Amino acid sequence: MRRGRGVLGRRRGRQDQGSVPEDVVQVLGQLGPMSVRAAGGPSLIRLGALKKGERATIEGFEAGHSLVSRLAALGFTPGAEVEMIQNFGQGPVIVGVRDTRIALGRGEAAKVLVRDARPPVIG
Amino acid sequence: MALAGQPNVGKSTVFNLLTGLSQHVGNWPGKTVERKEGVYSHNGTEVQIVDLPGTYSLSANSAEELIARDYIIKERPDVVVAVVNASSMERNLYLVAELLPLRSPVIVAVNMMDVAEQHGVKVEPEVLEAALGVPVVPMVATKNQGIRELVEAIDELVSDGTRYQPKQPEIREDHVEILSELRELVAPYVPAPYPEDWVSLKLLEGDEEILEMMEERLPEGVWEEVHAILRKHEDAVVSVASGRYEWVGRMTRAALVRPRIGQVTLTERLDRWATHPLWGLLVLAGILGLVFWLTYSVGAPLQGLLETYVVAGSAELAAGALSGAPVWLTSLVVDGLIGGVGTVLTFIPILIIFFAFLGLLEDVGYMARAGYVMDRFMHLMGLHGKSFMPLFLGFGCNVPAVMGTRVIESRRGRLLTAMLAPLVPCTARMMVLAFFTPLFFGSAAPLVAWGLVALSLAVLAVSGVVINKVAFGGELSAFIMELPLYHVPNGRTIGLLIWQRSLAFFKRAGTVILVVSVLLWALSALPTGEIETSYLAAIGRLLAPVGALMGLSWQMMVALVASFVAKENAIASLGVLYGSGEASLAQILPQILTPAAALGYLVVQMLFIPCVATVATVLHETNSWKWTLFNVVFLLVVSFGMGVLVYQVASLFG
Repeated sequence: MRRGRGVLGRRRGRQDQGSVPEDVVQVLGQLGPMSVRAAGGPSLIRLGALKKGERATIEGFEAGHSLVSRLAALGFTPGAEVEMIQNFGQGPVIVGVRDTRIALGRGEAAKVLVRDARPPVIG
Repeated sequence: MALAGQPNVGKSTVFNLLTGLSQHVGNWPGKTVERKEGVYSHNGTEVQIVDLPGTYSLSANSAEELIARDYIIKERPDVVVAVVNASSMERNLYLVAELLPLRSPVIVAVNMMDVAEQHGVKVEPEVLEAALGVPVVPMVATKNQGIRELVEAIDELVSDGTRYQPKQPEIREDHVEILSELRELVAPYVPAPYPEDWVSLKLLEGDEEILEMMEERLPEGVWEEVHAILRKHEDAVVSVASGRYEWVGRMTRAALVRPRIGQVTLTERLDRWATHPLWGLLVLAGILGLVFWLTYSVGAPLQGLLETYVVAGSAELAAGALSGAPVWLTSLVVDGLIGGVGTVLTFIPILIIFFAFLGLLEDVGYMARAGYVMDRFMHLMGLHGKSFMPLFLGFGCNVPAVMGTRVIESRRGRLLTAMLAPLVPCTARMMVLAFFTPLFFGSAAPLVAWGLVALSLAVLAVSGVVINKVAFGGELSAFIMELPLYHVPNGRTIGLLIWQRSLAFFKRAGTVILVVSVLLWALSALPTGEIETSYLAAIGRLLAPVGALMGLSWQMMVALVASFVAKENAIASLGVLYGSGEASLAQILPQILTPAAALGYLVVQMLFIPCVATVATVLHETNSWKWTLFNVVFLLVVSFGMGVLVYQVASLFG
């Protein structure tokens, strides 16, 4: 029976937009809960960790296919520059990307990985 | 001709300009997505326009996107006009990059040139036209600029297609080989109207609908091969999207002048207040307060005037005209039709105020901010910011609230919001509240009334948490929402919006209410012609044991049942049952009801099954008998449960 097997191991439901552990599209491989230091370069962090006014470049996602697809269509693609417009440490954030202001839930903002322009912290 | 575009580009303004009032609003077959169609004539030819739903891309992310691409692929419009927003060209041209590989020729209408200029963005249409190889028309639709040029460009493209030479977006180099490999594998099996290149690209993107389509059509062996390739390149969706953006970047490099960095725009200044976690809430509260104030200071008196002059007047007229007719006919027309349908229609002024405000807030760009500041609170119920406005609309009337759930992308969120919307106290319920509370609670009446509203909202919140946990496993849907730039509202757009929404309410409410009004009238008149001995009274007596738990007589239970047609019918039917007018009812009620029982009654009335128009709308929007029935039963249980609880507790305190 081929029907119902699910394509690419993905669940069939069309409405699930949260992350589904088995089919997480990992553009960057495994990451720690908060941030991971790429060797020598500036640190790789989650978009939600940026403070107001900080800019960074998108590196990848840790999210299910449908969320990645929606984010990418809105301009969140690797290499694109983002600016954190509002982040109060809780609740949704506002991010500027490609001349647009996008409100993102905190959960969604945590699934976008960015390379911070800040110099790496020593120690 | 089809009109495509992302949300917030002024697409409906362009559509309204082209078609004027000659438009037809309906639904896409089998979907609760609005479908607008219209015609205009130019040089003697009639052009048909279909307004496609606003979409950011043409993937399978939402019903809107599936509808838009299906229409273009299967109906092959002669021209697709892609309306783009001049102030966010890059993101808007992404959709154009998705439209070009389809077979219909594309015209790019660059709208909101004025908004872009205010924000320091300059677009050069000629340069863009040369780069893209498709006609580009600059527009300011709100000021009626560029519409003639657009019509001419359409005409030209249709009459002479030879000059149409679009540059096709290319895929990024790292996936070129894989794409051609895929294409070779699947090309012989791609069904008729679908372009082979497009299907291969969508497969690479992991598009669910196309994957399912091709899985059915490909022979087992080929599918295995395709499947293996796709598995290996699961991240291609990002690469394909990046490729499109890189292409857009090259196309716009010369045609776009960006503002200096650091320039503080109007939107930025306003958002410092409107999206602030504290000030934003105050701004929202202020705006909502203004809506309420207008509703009750202007809308409610107007409603009263309609009630006394139009409804009562036409009832008198009808009674006079039917004086020779049998009594039952007079009763059917006066009590059944005019009393039921007429009463509901008196709510139109209140609705218009609500629709006008919502239209204004939407057009200005504020609505997204309201959703943003409310997101934190909606999260508690497993909903997000976009559910706030439909629920707020419920304070005016539950029908547009349920209809408004369409703005929510996920079916889960839509369902949950529609289930909760009937718990928002609508104006009709507020009127019952306003009638009852002064009779029983004297100077504490406003306090009781606000307490009951607060109780409704608390029940709403708890129900949200519970339904979300039980039915949806507590899952949260993603919150991604564009915050459009603020701009000056357009009266025409708002006017048409009010007109269309009021019309939709009329149609939806009018038909169902007509049927149920007649039915309820029949129940109250049959078999003897006297309500005290009617079937309706029998139902009331049947419910009396439940009523007894709340200290309510069978007459009060009948009033609850009668409120199914329209909430404020409760008062009218009590008037009939106690054989008095509304005025003397005010004197009779305190003698037969204890304050505790009155409180219990009001609690039930607030949380009871919504009016029939709302139930019909829930059925229509959820497209599910199961969910509609669940909603009715759920509200019955909750309302009686809370009613009994409040009565018993209140009785303890006397």
